[in-house]
Amino acid sequence: MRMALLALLVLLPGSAFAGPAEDLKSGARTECRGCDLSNQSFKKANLAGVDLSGANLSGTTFHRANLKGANLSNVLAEGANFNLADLGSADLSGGHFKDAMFYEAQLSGAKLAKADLSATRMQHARLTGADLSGADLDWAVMKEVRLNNANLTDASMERTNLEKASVGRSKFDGTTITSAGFLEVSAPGASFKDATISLTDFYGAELNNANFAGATLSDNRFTRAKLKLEQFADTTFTRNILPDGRVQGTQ
Amino acid sequence: MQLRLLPFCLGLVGALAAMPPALAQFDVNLVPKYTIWDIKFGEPISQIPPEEVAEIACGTNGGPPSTPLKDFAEFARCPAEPTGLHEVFFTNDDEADYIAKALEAEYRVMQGGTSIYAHPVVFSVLIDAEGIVRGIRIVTDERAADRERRVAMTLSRNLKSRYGRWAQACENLPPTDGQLPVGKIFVHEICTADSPEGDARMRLEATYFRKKGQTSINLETQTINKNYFQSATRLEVVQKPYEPDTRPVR
Repeated sequence: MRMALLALLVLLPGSAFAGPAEDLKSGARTECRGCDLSNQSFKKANLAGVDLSGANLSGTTFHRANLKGANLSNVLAEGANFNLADLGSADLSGGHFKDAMFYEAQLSGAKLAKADLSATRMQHARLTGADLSGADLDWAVMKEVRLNNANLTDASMERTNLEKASVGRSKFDGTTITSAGFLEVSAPGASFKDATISLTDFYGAELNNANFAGATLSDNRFTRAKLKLEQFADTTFTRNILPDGRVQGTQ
Repeated sequence: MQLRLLPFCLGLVGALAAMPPALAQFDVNLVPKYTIWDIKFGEPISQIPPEEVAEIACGTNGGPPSTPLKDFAEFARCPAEPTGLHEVFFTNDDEADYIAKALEAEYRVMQGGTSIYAHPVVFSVLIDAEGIVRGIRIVTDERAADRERRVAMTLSRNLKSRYGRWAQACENLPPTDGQLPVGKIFVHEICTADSPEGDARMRLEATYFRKKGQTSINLETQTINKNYFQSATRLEVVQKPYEPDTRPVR
């Protein structure tokens, strides 16, 4: 009997022993909920539509991978590499992505609600129409991202760098923005209703028709920003540097 | 190691140590695992590990890529050249480059891209109808910045040295068809050689001149014409009996 079992094991195809990572790459399986896939390489892999919800993806590389429509909700993916990955319409909500990289990644239409995106590197990423409501974007580097029509309601943005980003018509309603960089952002029609914004630099930002109703703005710099002072009519506005360089409250 | 390089190395190690955990994936050895020099002639194209290259597309005689390909197995989608070989463009694996970009690494050497001897280049592999690799083509990238393009011709010196064991016969061609020197420099050199084993042939062409019409000054506006010159290096190595393509560098 033991010999028969041994023979069976020898005769079984190698794929029968392949780990979940290999099975996902080959397409043999399309879900791996809660799996430990940490420190694996899925470089250039086609993982469109896979369900990896709750998986451990820490330190894993998805460089140039296709994750279109994938379910990565509630994953632990600290320090993961998503550079150049296609995450269009993927679900990353509730995930932990601290220190992860999304350089030039495609995240348009992605669900990132309540995700921990602190200290991520997202330069040049495309996030058009993404849902980032309640997300933690503290210390995230988001230079030159395309973030138009995105929802950042109630997000946390402490020291977030959005230099030269395009955030037109995006919602920052109720968002806490502290010591952040909005230098030369293009934000026409953006909504900052009821947001708390302090010590943030809007130098040269395009803020035409941006809505600041109910917002609390203190110690920010709006030098050379394109906006009208009437846009601050319904705000709590203290110690800010105005677009013409004057400090509020001084002659 | 020279002492003056010590601060650089210490700085590099320090910078790497201070970076996020993602850098654990960073290969401090800056040379890609697989390069064009690893390609073996006479073996199937499947020898190139797909995960070790980034983009694959049909080639355009050393120019920018055309039709994108999923993998090298699709080489037949690229039209055959007069020699019957299919040119497939590819780029080096860029995982480390993009980690460096994401981390805004100070050292541009980490963002090398597809280059050899620090020159941005276009790589192509030449494949016969049976899917066997018969040659390689390396041409300096015309899309490079002005400063890099200006020195593109100097890559030929590195390549001459690389093929130093091959008995090279070099010829300096005179200006033709309205070609002019850039300042006082005119280079149009073609070197050919057979491998020591006699199974392969190479052709190396270096050019540095102004083509007809590429004047240094616009006589109407009296302004300097920037970037009006040809500077390129083109290397082709093929397995015999195939011959290197002699079509001119565009």
